[in-house]
Amino acid sequence: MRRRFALTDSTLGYLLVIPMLLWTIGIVIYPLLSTIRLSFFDQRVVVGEGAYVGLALYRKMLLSREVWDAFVKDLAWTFGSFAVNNTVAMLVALLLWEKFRGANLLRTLVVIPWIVPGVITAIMWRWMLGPTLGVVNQILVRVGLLTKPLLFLASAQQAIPTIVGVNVWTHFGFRALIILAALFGIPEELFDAAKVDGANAFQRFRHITLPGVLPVLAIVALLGAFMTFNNVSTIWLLTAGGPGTATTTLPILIYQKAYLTWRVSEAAVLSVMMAVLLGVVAAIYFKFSPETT
Amino acid sequence: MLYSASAVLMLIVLFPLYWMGITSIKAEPEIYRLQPTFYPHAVSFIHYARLMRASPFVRYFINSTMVACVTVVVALCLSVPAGYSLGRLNYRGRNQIWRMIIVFYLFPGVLLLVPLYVFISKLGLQDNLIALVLVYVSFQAPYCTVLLRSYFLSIPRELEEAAMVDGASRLRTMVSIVLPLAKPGIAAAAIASFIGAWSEFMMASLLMVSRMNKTIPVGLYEAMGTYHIDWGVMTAGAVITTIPVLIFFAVMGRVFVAGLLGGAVKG
Repeated sequence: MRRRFALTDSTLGYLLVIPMLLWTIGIVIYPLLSTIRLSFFDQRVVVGEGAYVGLALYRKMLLSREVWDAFVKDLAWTFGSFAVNNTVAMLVALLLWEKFRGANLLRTLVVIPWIVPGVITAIMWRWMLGPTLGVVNQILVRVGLLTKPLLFLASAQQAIPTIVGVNVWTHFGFRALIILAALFGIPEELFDAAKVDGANAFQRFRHITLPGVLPVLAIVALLGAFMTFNNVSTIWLLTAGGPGTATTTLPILIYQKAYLTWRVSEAAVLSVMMAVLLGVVAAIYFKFSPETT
Repeated sequence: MLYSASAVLMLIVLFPLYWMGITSIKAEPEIYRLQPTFYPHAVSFIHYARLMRASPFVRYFINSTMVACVTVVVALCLSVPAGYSLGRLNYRGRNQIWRMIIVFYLFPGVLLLVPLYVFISKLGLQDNLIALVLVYVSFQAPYCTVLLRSYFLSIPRELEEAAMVDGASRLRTMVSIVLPLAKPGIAAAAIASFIGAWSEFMMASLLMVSRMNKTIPVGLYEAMGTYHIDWGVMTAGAVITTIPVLIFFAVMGRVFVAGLLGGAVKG
């Protein structure tokens, strides 16, 4: 006699999803909760426990000049990336929207910078942007656009624009494709009707194209801003926060505090504060954006 | 006008990679000339030879490959069932679980650096490649789940229903009918996870300390730290690191882009 073991859909559903859940909870939620706990203790080493200090470290971080500097630099870098990335991505998306020979190939090629490993991007650009040996400077000086080479990553003033530039190179293609998908979603009839009504290209853009992609553009821009604000690896690999503290954004400061000076608790406090800040921004966005339910 | 804009775009996208490639095969004096050459006047593979012989690069390559492969296998084992469960089956709490996974997917990684490091140290796994697998699977699994769920959703229900009418259980249907149809999606998830694990730098640099345990990104980066950078060897290492990624992209690139464009490609 054979016993039939019948699995209901429900049970199967739970069984299939639980390994994933357990893993993620174990390796993500548990460490997160211990970070929050850590932020209330004064801990200078990784294992063992420091003394309970309550909100003292929060106060110290909020009063610290270094922290505010890092915050401002983070905002500068994020805003710069936001402005340039989205503009370039929009323009490129409009270009890729056109039908011409090679458009399809180009659409596949623009995403290559995004898939290149971060270390490689950093190596390539550090090599190309060197003051004497870098090919960018060599070309610009030869062509006459510059009289002397730019320092790029080696200059405190040029560092942030330079890392913004590398960030744009890396991400514009991927974003352009997402915007392109939205462009494809705008019904042709709208454009045909507008042309019949005598609207010129600029008017069509303003009244049909732009509103058509705005929801997608907004999400892409917001998520992009989040990821830029939180970015560690791009900046670390290019400048390690330098020269000096020119590119020491908040995440870089957290990294330095945790691993270079072992101020693990301070790093935890800053991480929590960052998470709260981003959570608030996200909540505000979702509250005021009409598309999300 | 369109063509010149496209040409500029292609140049901007591809030139850095091209430059890296030809630097790695130029002879040393040609690399450091003050007047750049845009094609190598003399081809030399000495940098590759030096890379393999004089540095632990081969070891790094092996480490990275092992970690990436194991990560892919584990991530798929977790996310294929999860994707199916969240896409096809109904049960209480399913939507909440799904939302939670989206939150994980979007969660900024930097906030996890400190806690993960502490967590791994408490487990005594620092400097152990297994720690990287643990971490990378948690980074990749949410993305894979999202991807696979939408893939499973796109497979017509009627196929499963037909099989179940014939008496097959849900599980059997999933294994013999749905999974084979989802192969492209699974392949895409596998490749994305591989590339993610292959390229990751931050956690690898924190957790792997001893020379023989490092992965390629960390190894390459640290080679840049010394006072005088040997750009021939650096770019050779960079080329070897990028090749697997480019190969995968050559294979799956079209599909990947089509996925992004939502199948609405015109023109």
